[in-house]
Amino acid sequence: MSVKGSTALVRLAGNPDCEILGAMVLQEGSEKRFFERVVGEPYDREFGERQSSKRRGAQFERNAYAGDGRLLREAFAPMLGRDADALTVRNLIDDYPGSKDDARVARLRITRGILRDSVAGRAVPDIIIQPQLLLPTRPGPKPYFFIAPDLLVWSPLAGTYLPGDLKSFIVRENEVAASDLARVRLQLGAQLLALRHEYDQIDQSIVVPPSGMLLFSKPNGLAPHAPRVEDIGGAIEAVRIGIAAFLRHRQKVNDLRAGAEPYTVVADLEPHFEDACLSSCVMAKWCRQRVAEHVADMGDVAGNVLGDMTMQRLLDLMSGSAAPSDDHEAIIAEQLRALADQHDEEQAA
Amino acid sequence: MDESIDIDRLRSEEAELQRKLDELRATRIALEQKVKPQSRDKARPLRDLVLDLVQDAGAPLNSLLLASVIRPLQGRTIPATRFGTLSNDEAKSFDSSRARPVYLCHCLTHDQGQAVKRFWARSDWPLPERVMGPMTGRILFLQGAAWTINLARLVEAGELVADNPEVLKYVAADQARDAGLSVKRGEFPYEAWLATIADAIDRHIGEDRALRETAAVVLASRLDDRERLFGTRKGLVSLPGSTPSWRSAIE
Repeated sequence: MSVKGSTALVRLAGNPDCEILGAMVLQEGSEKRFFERVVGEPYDREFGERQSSKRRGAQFERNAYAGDGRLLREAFAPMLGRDADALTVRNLIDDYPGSKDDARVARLRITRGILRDSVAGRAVPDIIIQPQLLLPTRPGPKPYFFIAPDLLVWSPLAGTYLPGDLKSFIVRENEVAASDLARVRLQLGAQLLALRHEYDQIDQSIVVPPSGMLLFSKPNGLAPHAPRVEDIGGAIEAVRIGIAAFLRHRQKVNDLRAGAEPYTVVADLEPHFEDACLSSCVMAKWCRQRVAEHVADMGDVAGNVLGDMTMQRLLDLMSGSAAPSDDHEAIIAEQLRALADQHDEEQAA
Repeated sequence: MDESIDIDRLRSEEAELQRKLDELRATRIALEQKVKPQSRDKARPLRDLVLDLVQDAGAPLNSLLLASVIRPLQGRTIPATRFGTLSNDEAKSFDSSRARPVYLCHCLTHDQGQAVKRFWARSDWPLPERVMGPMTGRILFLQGAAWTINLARLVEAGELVADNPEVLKYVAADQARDAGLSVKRGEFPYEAWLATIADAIDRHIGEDRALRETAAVVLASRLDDRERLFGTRKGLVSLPGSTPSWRSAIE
């Protein structure tokens, strides 16, 4: 996974206590390169999204944008109460193609122009494809995150644009698995915060509602379902917590590194290993080694219930060779002994 | 008095030369289209190829469409980044002391005069042909689709030679599908597709044309020669952290 743009913020929102993640976001270069520099050997495990998923996603987007966004216009027309043929579309990738920073800056300038026009009441496109936004995190290194929603869609109800994202997951009846939805909601949360920032620069009285639009793929072919309007109030708060965590981690990394590169101070940072890290972070194995002999190594539930305790302490509490130091440990010891007795009885039977 | 006669005479000569140039170009394109592409087009600079294709289409073309048509038509694969280089080269060429009779250039947004880099046009076209209003993206897509479908039709009719006619048919079918037309496997009703697309163009072209012409007058008075081809370079963006006193969104 990437450690740039909204993906970085989504990951920070998912694990705000991980200082290693903060250093990764600060470090120039790829996540794999970060691993190589910290561990001193190449990252040789599976990494990244499946090629077939990438191809499917790219094709879904290509289809949606083709023909002056015909499928998008048809998908959004009922929601906007307009005829699909009358909706106007502007694809900013046509204006300035590319993924390098100069192209992003050019698209940011155009996006800001359109937002200003919309506030001034001038004619603006109903759908903006590949707009560019920005979330400032100044002052300090990495003073901003580029945030690029797939779409901005004019909402007559809100009187503002709302962010929209295309997802090529196969969805039946437009119902999405909770785990998939949680992640894309966080993405929308980051996009909405960036959009609010841009509107705020134009007019601080503008209220952008906590809503975002998701467009999933139908199971047959690559046509979009009807857009889902998501309430993303919770996701926005989660991303805010992620940003606050990044600012904290950045401060700590800066204090430690004294001008050196962020990866050089990783040994002095606190990881926060979680089950989800194993499927999303190149540093997961390394972080897991850091919690070896601790209950966190047994998974999120064990960590949450037992707290920051070593395995040896746990065994001592269970065997009775150590006395509980507080009520919490007393309950744990009691429960563990009960479990051990039950286990012994089952073994004997 | 003599000077005004000279100017009139020069204008008249210029118009006559332009007419002859147009005739000559049309004859050359017609002849070239009858020649097997491998023998002539594979070695030609991309710039010349694009100039001719855009002239043939009679409307600005999107670089994605150009790349997808050039492959079956001329048997050349154009990487996406090549168009970026072409744009920079053309602007540099304009800035150099050696003037060219015609430049490849971009469409311009109707309000700001900014380049729409994926849409390619010729510098010898009138400015309204290159201005993009709110509906122009749709019109240009439809015109490009019609051009592609017509190329496939000409190839099938034996009036044009393509490096890979089968692929060109499917590129044409993709354009028809993107335009929302019914596309069935193995069927290529070119005439019906072209008629439907012509109807779709007619729905918007009147209003679009009027807006482009009005905008072109304003842009022509506001932009210099270079900006009229490659767009305005105004509008710097201030990024956070770029200066100690950064305030954001100052343009």
